[in-house]
Amino acid sequence: MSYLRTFGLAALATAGLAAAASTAQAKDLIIGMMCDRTGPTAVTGTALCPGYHDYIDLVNSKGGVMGNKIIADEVDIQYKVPPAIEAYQRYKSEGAVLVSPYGTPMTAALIKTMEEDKIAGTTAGFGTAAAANGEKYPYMFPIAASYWSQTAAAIKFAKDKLGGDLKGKKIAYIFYDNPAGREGIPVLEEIQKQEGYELRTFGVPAPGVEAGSQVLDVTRRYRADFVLLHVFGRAPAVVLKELKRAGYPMDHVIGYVWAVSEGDIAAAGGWDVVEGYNTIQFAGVGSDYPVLQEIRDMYKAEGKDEPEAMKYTVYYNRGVFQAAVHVKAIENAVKAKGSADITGTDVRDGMEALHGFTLGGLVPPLEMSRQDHEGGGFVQVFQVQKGKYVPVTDWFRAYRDDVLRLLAAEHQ
Amino acid sequence: MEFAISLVAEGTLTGLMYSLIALGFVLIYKSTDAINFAQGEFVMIAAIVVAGCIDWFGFPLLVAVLIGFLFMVVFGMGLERFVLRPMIGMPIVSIIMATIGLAFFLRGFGPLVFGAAPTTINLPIPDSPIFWGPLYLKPIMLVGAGISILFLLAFGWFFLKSRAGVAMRAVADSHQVSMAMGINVERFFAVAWITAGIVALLGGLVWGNMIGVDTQLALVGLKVFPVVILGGLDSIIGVVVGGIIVGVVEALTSGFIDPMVGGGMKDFAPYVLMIVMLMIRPYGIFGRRLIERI
Repeated sequence: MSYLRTFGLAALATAGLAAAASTAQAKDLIIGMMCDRTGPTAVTGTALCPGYHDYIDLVNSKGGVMGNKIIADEVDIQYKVPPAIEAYQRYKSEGAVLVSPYGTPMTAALIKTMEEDKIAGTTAGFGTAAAANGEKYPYMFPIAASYWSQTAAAIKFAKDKLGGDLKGKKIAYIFYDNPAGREGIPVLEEIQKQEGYELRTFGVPAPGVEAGSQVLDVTRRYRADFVLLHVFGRAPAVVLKELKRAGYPMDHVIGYVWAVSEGDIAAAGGWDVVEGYNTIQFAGVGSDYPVLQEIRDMYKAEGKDEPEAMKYTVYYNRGVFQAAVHVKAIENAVKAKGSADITGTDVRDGMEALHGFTLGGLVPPLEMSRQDHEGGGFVQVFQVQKGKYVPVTDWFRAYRDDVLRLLAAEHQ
Repeated sequence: MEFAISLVAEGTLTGLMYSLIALGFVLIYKSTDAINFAQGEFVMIAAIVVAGCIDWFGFPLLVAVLIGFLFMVVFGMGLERFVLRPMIGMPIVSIIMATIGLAFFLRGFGPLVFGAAPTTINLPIPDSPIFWGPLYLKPIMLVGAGISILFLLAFGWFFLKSRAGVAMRAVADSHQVSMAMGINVERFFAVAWITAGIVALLGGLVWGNMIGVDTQLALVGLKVFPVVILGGLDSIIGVVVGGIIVGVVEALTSGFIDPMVGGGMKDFAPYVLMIVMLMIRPYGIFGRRLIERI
């Protein structure tokens, strides 16, 4: 009997160990990551995507998320909707737990499908701004200042620069003529009611390789007091160069988050050309952040030099930020579930559980909730001064009530 | 009114810069009777080579331009030798399809070899605008327009007065007859493609300075289609007139119509003009009355 009992216990222990081993078996967690290394917005992807992969590699080099490896499956979508939809279908069939669309038109095309499929996604720094309302768009997370928050911050910055009063001042909004570029207009019109500024919008047709006559209009006919520059891809460099040639004061120009990279400045002719240019950032600029040092150390340990993309800190840092948010949300999901068998809904919950996330000061404290998928909507303005970016504000947000009112209106 | 005058001036200068690239189309058409759909990509690749020499190797501008020049000469010769020579005597549509394929190849080849990051070509031309009465002129555009005029005059003389120019026109009319008359068709093919490459280099320098250098620069080639259709595919004077019309229409549309409709008209207005021209005078303002369906 004693023998049988011992055998039974041993058998149970063996079965238990096998079961434990089974649940603890490492799993590859797939993130569908859309990129734009070629096409009209390649200036972004060529720096942002390497930053993303480097952070994922860093996490995997430390054992992944609780022993589970993260796979970032990249597809270069060239800022086009059809390849984005194809990429999404691939991610879905692979069982991706999170998808990172790139670009406002692509997000608009996928947002409902992702919701139906219950796959969480992020849209750091681009549209749809209305996705900041997590009750309306439960599976989409802007995770950084939306175009509405950027617009509000840009107006506040212009107001401060113009002496604290915008009444009667002429604001020019130069925008990339697509859904992303048009996103700022409702907020400009909303804030206009209380600030009393004059507003004119100037659309730059895609891909924005010429903007001479629009800039001529802004500077010679309209004679704007301040310029908000919401263009991207090749357009920022072209517009900045044209503004410079028109003799417009660059410190009266503020660029939205996709018009502000080192690559744009190089293409515009260099730092001297854009001295004084103000730029909105939703992640810190520069190399002095602990997470970047960790990546450099990782390369060093592998006997490699740091990659060229690390020099383009605006987009590289944003790639790191996006990857870190994704990893943290997945980690939250795995912890909550107790295993790596997580779903898009678990990741959504993990994303909403992000609180006080700063990535060592690289980003403002991210405070996510079911109501706020934007995480606060903070930005920081950096100005080009003597060949480098210098922060000229702290993390801030502006006209929050107006932005929230517009979001609520979207919800109705 | 002052604004309108400024727009017309800006449009005229832009149009003359379009003419420089359009000249590449005309050159190829006059010598091979085919349209080079890769002319925009020629501009792109020439500019990428020059910018790459400056950015990667730190070469002075003049050295980089010289390398770009040699590259385009070798490129033109290689193109003629390996792609186009086998097509002598074949239907024109074959050459056209080859240029379309070449355009796609170059769009992939450029970023593959040189990277996708945009850059610029900093020419020693001041940025400060010149104010001349109601006119507001940008130095780079004046330089670009000047280069265009000089080259257009030079090629006008070449085609009309020189023996080589006459021979090239003969080659365009008929490969077989030209060969029968003792004209070295291969040589004139090579001269045409090399010259188109050199024109593209000049366009690349000017436009690369204006709008930066990456694969998007190839889009300037598309802008030039309305220019050559309006002016006439085989007319050098047509290139100038077509360029100015397109430039001015774009500028005026951008200044006066875009603000009324919220933007977006500027880019397609020249194509509307092009379609109208194709409907009423498909050979262009100065083109030969010779229509072929391809």
